[in-house]
Amino acid sequence: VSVSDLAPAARLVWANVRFNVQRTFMPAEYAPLEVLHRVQYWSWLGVAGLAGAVIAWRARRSQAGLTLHLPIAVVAMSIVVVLMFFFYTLTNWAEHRILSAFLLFGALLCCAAPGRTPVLLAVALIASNLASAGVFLNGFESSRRDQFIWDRRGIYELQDALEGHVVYRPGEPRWCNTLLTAQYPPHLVAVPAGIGISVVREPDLVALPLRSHYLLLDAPSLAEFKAPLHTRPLATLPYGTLYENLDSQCK
Amino acid sequence: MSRVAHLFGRSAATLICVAGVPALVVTLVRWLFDVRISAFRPLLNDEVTFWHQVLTFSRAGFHGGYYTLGEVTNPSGFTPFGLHGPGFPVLYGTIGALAGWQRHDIVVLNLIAISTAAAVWVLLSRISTPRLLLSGLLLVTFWPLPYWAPTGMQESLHHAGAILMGGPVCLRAPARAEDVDRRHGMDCPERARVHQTFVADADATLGVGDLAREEPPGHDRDCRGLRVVVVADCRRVQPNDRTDKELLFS
Repeated sequence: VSVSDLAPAARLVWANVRFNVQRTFMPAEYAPLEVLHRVQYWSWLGVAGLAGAVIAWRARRSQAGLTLHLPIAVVAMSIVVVLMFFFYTLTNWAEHRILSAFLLFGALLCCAAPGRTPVLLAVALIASNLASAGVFLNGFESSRRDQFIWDRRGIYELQDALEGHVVYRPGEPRWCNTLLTAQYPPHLVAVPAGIGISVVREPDLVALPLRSHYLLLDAPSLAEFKAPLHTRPLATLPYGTLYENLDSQCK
Repeated sequence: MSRVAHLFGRSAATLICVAGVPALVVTLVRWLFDVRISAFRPLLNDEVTFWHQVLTFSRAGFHGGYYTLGEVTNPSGFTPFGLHGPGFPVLYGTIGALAGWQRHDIVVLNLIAISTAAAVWVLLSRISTPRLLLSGLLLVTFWPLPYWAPTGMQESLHHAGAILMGGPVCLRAPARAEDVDRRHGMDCPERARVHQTFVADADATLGVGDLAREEPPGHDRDCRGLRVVVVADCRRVQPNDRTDKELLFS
């Protein structure tokens, strides 16, 4: 592998870093809870890094042993932030989902670390969270409501459609126990245990013939495949038709 | 501080650490939506996928159908599970195989994971009661915890992992000898007096005396030999008489 071979990859990574840096300064693109978390982890990293450096310097001057809590926390957080900026994108709550575990780890170590500064860091984090309790409550209520208050009819409808058609068969090849779907409604929890759920988002890119025994496809997706499929309709649902794939070679 | 007060404070701090987040989540769901946790359904794509993978593993192990994107399977051929790997379905699915798998069980296991991790933190971190209380407050007010716990995402397991790892790190990165002493409630000389018999025995048994002789000049003589003993014998130390503020910032 020559350096020139790596150039396109390096350009991609650099473009990703630039994108992420730009996104960092676009708070309007994010939910308030995400912005809060971003401010918290950058502030924590900055102050903890500085404090860690001062503690290490003092320990060296006094020839006392260096306690490792803060350095471990700062290094862990720094590594994951760098990796994130290089290889991930700051969309879809990515920072909140991934970095929060590292911030929590660091803050807990602050609770155990000797000295005043780490404790003050933990106290500051708690204070900022308490001050933003209203933001959390609003975010929690709006984003979790549909997970707890919902219409059960969609599940019953799918259960009825699958009944007697889609059944897990132990001992059969995996593809014979797979349902390929173009839509992903939450009602899919009604699909029986043992039946794998595969997704097709770009039908024109999927290799044919399809191998999944069962298909759940809407009309536009069905039309996008590169060649006609050999199917037998089993049931009709609001978000597509359930088919048996005759090319799957399953019984 | 009396022994009873110390025990009460320690128990309260432990309770907040271990049960604080589950209690908060259950309360929020009840208060905001007027339903129980059992009303939960996976909603987002990833949630539905994770939940169903666990269901399949709990009933069929690795012999279920494929979870793929565009029918592209993973090269190993060992697992039918998708882009996020088999770890989550295997872990939660093993419990599901034993206890059954309902729609809301993923939330229950999330909360159990957080509680268990917090219990390990309490056991291994060995921090003073005020600091334990501080860590409990941190857990309860760390909004990403209650935000992701009532979902079918894997974030709660990651959070539990972060809490879990805190304990062993504290064990492996103990504070300086004088800090360890103070964390457990006494200054070095005081502790040395209280435990002089034990320390002498321990020095002989563990060879700590040899270690102590290697300390740099000027090190407080009363602290010698305690560095290892203190870590090994934290639980023998009696409740402290220092004020909460002193302990918090020690």
